[in-house]
Amino acid sequence: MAVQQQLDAVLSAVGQGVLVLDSDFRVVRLNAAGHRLLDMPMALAEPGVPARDLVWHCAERGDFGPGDPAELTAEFLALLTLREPQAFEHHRPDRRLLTVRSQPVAGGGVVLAYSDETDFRHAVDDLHAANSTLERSVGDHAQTIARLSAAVEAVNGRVEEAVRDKARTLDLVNHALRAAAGSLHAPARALLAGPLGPVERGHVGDLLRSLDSLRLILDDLGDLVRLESDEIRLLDSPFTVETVVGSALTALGEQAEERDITLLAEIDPAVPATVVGDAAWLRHVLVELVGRAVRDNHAVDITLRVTPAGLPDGRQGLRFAVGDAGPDAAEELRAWLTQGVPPLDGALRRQGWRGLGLHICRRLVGLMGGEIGEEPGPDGTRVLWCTAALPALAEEPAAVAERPPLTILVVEDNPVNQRVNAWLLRKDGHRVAVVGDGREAVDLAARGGFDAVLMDLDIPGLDGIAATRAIRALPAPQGAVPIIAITSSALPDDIERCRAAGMDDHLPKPVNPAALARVLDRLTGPASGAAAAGDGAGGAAGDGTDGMEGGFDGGVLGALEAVIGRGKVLELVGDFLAHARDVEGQLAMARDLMDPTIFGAVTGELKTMAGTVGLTGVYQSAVALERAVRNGDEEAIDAQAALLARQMAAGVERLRGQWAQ
Amino acid sequence: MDKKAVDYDQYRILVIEDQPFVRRTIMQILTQIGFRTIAEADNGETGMQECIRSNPDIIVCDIDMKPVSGLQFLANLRASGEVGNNRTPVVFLTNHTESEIVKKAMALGVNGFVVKPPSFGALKERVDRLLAAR
Repeated sequence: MAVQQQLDAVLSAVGQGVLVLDSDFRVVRLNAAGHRLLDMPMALAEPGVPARDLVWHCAERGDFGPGDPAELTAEFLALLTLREPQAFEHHRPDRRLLTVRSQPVAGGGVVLAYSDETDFRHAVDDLHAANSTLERSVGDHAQTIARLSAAVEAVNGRVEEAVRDKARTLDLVNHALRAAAGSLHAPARALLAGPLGPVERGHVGDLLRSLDSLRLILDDLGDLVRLESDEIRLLDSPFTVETVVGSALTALGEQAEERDITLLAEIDPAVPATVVGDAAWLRHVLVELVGRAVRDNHAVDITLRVTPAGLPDGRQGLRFAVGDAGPDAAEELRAWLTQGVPPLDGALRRQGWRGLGLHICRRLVGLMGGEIGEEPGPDGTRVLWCTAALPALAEEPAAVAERPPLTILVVEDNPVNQRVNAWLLRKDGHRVAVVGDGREAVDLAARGGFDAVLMDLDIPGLDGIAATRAIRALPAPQGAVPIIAITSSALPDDIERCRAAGMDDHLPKPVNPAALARVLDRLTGPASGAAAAGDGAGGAAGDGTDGMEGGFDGGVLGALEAVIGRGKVLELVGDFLAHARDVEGQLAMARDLMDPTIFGAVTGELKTMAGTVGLTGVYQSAVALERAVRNGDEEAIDAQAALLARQMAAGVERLRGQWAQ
Repeated sequence: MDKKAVDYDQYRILVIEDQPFVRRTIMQILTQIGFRTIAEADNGETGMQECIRSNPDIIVCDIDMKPVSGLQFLANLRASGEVGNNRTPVVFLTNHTESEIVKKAMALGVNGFVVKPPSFGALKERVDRLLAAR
């Protein structure tokens, strides 16, 4: 009996409903949980009641779904007779869900175990519901995201438009400010022309200086607007590093002189002579960096060092470093780099602050694939530096590689030009002696041993012309040494003076390496000598530029072809030839009206185009014409304009012969 | 080229410039040069009306103006049958040294340029040359 009692206790205690049927399918027992779960009338749960009645009751009230209770009951009992474990479901009218497992008992009879799975099933349903809600909401989210991104795009479009608007507005403001500043110039200058006390004169001078610096700031602002609206496209043209470095330092020469500063360039021998990039913008950056150092200093040497540099993206580049920048420039650059803005209050307090310069450099250097930064230099100074992707020109225009080395005397007092010229010559294997004074030059030349002399015209002691005469007065062979003038002007008068003094040729500053090599080649080659240097038409004042071998540097287009291909070069030449047809008429009109602006438009465009296609004669003639226009000498303008027209005609012939399609 | 003394007060000159301050400055310079009959207009449209009304001997004209620019004014003038003389010399005041604008102006038949801000000397030189060529 103890076993029966224990069994009773277990059956009462378990949460599951348990129905025990005997072999005749009559009720043996339904435990308490079973009563509760099945919600059976007590009469049907009594021992001995046929299971059929109990099942019928359930079927009738719909526990097994819709259908005939008799059939449902028969089906249920048939399943039980299979004498295998079975599983059913009861769906109670109160929406509860019961699962039933039947277990046949040895010796006949069945035990049915009921469990309430409503909660579980609800949980599952909830999960399903939640799932589909999630799916719906994911769908909703996708829609929301689509709507959002459409909105973002719209906003983006508006922002872009606003940025364009901003650029346009800034451009407009810039234009208006420039016009306003411009219109102040005339009255201010008119004031200066009148009777003024010294104090008033000082005030007007200050006003004019302020207007000038305002114009510089407006220039910067204009550059910045163009940078911000991606209007600046950098060129990929070959240029010589020394030329750009020299021209940047020359631009600052006056400022440096005022502050008793010597500008020096130090170009590492490993730097390629010719690289590909945008010379004009690079020069802009160098002028700003060196200019900062100049403005921050007094009575020192400032050196611009150029070295090869590997860029972060693996490209070949150059590094330009300016020593002796003041702490202010370094601090300002750091502020631009880290905070995006300079320390305004401090910067504005400083005199001569141009504001946007370093920021523009940063953007430009970025466009050039490089970086900008500052680092400690010697003696507590700071070094401003930048890098730029400037690959070496694939094929350097080699002209003089096989020439035997020469011994050359360079007479030049400007230390930058001294270095650049000496470096150019040494690069080609020549031996170089440099003197900065005309008298020394004559002394050295008298000792002999030189194959050629490069003579700057403006040197202390004896000037270039007088030194040449003195050398020519020496007995041969010292007196017959070829002398090449290095001139800052291409004025016919100057050229004529050079020739009259006995010079063999002239080259304009800054010295173009290819032209220098060619001139040396011609003057010192086996078939030449000073006597052969006369080069045909020479002599007359108007023909001052014909020393440039008819004014055509074929190497320029050759070098360009190596970079952009023959097709593009032919296109370029085609453009130039088409343009050349208009130039004659424009020049005639400019001469007729003697109008500086029209001359400026013609020569400005011509210089760019002629330089690009290697018409050095046209280029120099255009420069000479510009100079004549600036000086306002009508006779010289007329002569130079006529010369330019002739140079154009000759240049067009050469281009047609060699490069036209 | 000989420069004879020019009798400025016998010539009528028209200044077309949209900025009153600049316009006044130019008129003052022209007065200093010796002009006595100076008409003014503030854009190419009123400039054209003034041209028809006062038939000037020479015109000093800005380029950037609204609604009618200097270039458009020049084109209208050269094509006009209403003005006394549609070949009247026109000098452009310009900030532009861009060759495109200069060339456009040349194609339209401009007679000279003076860079802004115009100085006494530059304006006088330009005007002298054009009056001497008459």
